[in-house]
Amino acid sequence: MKGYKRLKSLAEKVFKASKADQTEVLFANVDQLLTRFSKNSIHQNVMSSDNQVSIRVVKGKKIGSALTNKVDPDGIIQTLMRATEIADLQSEDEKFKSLPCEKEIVIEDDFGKINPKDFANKVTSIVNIAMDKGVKAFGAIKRENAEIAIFNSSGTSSYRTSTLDNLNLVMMDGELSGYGALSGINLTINDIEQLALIASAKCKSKYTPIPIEPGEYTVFLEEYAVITMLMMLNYMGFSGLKFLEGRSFLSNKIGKKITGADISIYDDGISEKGIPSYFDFEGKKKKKVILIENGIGKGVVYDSYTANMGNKKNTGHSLPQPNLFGPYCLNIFMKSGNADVKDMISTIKKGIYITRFHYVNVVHPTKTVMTGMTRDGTFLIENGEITRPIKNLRFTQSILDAFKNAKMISKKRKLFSLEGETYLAPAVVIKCFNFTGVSEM
Amino acid sequence: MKDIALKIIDLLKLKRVTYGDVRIVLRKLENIKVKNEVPLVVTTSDDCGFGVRVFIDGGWGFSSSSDFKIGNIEKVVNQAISIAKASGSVNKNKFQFSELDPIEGAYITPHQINPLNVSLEEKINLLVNATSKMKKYVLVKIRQGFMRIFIDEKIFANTEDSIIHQKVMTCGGGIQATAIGKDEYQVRAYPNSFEGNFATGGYEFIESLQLDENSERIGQEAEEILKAPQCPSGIMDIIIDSSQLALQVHESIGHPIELDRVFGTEASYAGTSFIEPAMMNNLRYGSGIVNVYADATVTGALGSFGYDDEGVPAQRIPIIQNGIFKNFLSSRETAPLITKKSNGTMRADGWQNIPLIRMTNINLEPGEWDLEDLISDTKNGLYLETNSSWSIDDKRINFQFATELAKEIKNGKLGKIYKNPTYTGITTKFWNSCDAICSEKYWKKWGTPNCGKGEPPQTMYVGHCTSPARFRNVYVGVMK
Repeated sequence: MKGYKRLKSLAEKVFKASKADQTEVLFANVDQLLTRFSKNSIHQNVMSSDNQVSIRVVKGKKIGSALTNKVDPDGIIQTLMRATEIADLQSEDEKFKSLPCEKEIVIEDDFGKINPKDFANKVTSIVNIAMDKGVKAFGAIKRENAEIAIFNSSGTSSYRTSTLDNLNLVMMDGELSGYGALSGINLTINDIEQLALIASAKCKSKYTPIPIEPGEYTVFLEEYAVITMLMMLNYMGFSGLKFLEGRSFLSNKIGKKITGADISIYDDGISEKGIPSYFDFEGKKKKKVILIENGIGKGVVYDSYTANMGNKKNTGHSLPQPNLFGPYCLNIFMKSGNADVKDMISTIKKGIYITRFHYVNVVHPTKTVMTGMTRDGTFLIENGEITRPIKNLRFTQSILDAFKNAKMISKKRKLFSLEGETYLAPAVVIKCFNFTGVSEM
Repeated sequence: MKDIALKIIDLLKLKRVTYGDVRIVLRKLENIKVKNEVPLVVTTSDDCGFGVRVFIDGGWGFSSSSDFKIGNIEKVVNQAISIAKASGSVNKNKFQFSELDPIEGAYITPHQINPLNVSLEEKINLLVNATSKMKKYVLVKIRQGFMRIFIDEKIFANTEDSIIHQKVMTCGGGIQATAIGKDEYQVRAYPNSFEGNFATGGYEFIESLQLDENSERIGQEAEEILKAPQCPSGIMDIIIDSSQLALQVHESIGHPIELDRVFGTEASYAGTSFIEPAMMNNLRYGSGIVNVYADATVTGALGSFGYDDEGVPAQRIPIIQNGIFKNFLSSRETAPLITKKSNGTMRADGWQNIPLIRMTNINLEPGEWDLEDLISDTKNGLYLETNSSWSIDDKRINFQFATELAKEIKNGKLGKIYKNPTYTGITTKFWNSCDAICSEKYWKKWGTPNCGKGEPPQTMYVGHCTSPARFRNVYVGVMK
């Protein structure tokens, strides 16, 4: 890792050498250790260390960018020249106004130690539980130390260091499997063992899974399944670009009721309850944005480009530029309810308990219809109790309609981070969830 | 690059590892995206680094870096070894690798025009000119053009004295029209979704795509789909066009035959497979006309190369013959577990990742039908074109796809267009319902440039050659 002062000094050299009206330099330095295990053995154990610099130049309304991982003065100046050549080739982009100007932000969190032996010990604790329970453990544990810095010639200096650990875990016994995941800083052996016990309990049953007829059922969705629904909503419509172009489910729906009254969803990149990212990939400080409040469509997120396009305020949600994707939420929270999980299950006369979803994709984006499969812990609920495992099911369901039918929301929420996106969500009971197929040969 | 690779191998031999290899990769990328005639994304990147993989004391370790300083190279080698020893502290695995004689090899993708030698200006103009022809269609609010060039130059060396130099050149592109109405929008892409079609080869491939010639049609069709009625629901015969069939092959044949999935190494993430080793030569995967090969030697196909990332030469292997399952995709480590030799499918995404078993070109062999005859032979059904959505379960049994459009087939004739078509099925039942495949005349190479697998996620370029085919009694129009 390079440190704030050294990166700022490199960026200043770029600004000095640049002939453009505005110049932006983004540094991304990442060290990572990832240990994967299957059938109670480590089969993949990998470390990587990479430094990247991306340079964006603005000449009038012409923009060019180039990227390299040769992060020395020569490599950086060559990349600047390439970005400038590209800008010269460009046509004017009338929708572009300016790179953002942000006050200095410096967040220097300590890096966690990258230690393969520590990870091996953590995997051993999982394997010991798996062997004790007579099941097999599969999964991955990862630590990522990141240093992100964005500087631009209009005064933006945003810098942060961070450490994040992730664990995903599947326990299997024959046809049955159970899942658990943890995201945070310095996952403890105790947390990991608790997760391993929960996942292993799900794959032990005196029954073999049976198929049930597709149709509409009341479902208990664990937090992992709810988080997948939030991910899909995020993809289908919280972006200001999709909203402005009429491609978001929120286009023409701001101020209107779109879900049940208990549903509130917001993005907050500063909140310590999640995994804060503080600023976006243009260095702009993140603002809290209410997306859905008490079932009413409230807002979407913007970066500098789309804020100018729609005459809105930049909310600090840029992805690395340039991209056609537009701004994006990376820190989504769903408001909790007041129910205990046991009470939630006890209200279901006949229904399905779902641990998580798999391979979910969009069927109709503005109606928020998605399809996907259940996975790693799907059970029948009868008379308020989980009675037996069932075969995995395919669903085809509108998310907004599902949230209209949300009947109970849990008090507790789970934090989950995947590839830079972080979600904090409760478990939910939903009526009339639509299943359209069974996984059976 | 070669000197550095050999130095690392010397170091690994000095450290007495059971096995070790190194890959040095220089990746050059050019990415152009034009939206409403403005080239919003024009970017180039250079990315270079090395990855060292070792087996010692019963475990695997891998470490990588973009820093080529001598001190750092030694540090990375030592890290790989200490990681392997940490792996070995959990499990003492026996080192088992299928035999491979040392190879001194070289490969370069056959091509005529190096795409990086064509000016950015010419490439941008091609996309701007092509997409501007959609302007006359007023509902087409978003006109996009894409082009991507991706060149990997790599050195592979291992402690068994192989050393291989490869330059794999890939490129491609496409255009896309988005028609936007009051409460919905529809996308029409050419020649395929996922930003077009991609191949190994030079700029001549991009020129052959005829983006300009197809632009107006795509704009018109986007508007037609937006105005079209919803696809009906029910059990029908379907004819799937070759681009959608490529993805059907990818998801329901390509992934389940990866032997690492079969043995559970992707279980917690992408999933496993319904296929077991005992099913080789027994499982009736499809009807008697279904023949599938994994072929990394097809000139121009996106999944072609000279050697995989374990140094095994590219091969053509039977996967399904006359409907019977024959073979898995394997690596040097997994092949001995089914008493075979590696069939050369291990590939890594860049220097910073280890190789995994990946599809090469998984090709459905052509049949004998003429497409017009096949449509004439179909009484009631749908003709489905161009993927828009895909989903399959973690064992690759239950799938559901959506396409950009469906054309009604009534009494052997193509009729009206439907929007939002979907179809769903069970893998082996579906392939057993295939009763007609079109001839070589319609057999086309499709590149899938976004095949994801592994942790950390790796993206691989893979290919599929397919002709349109008919499937009987399929559930279509799944929607709520």
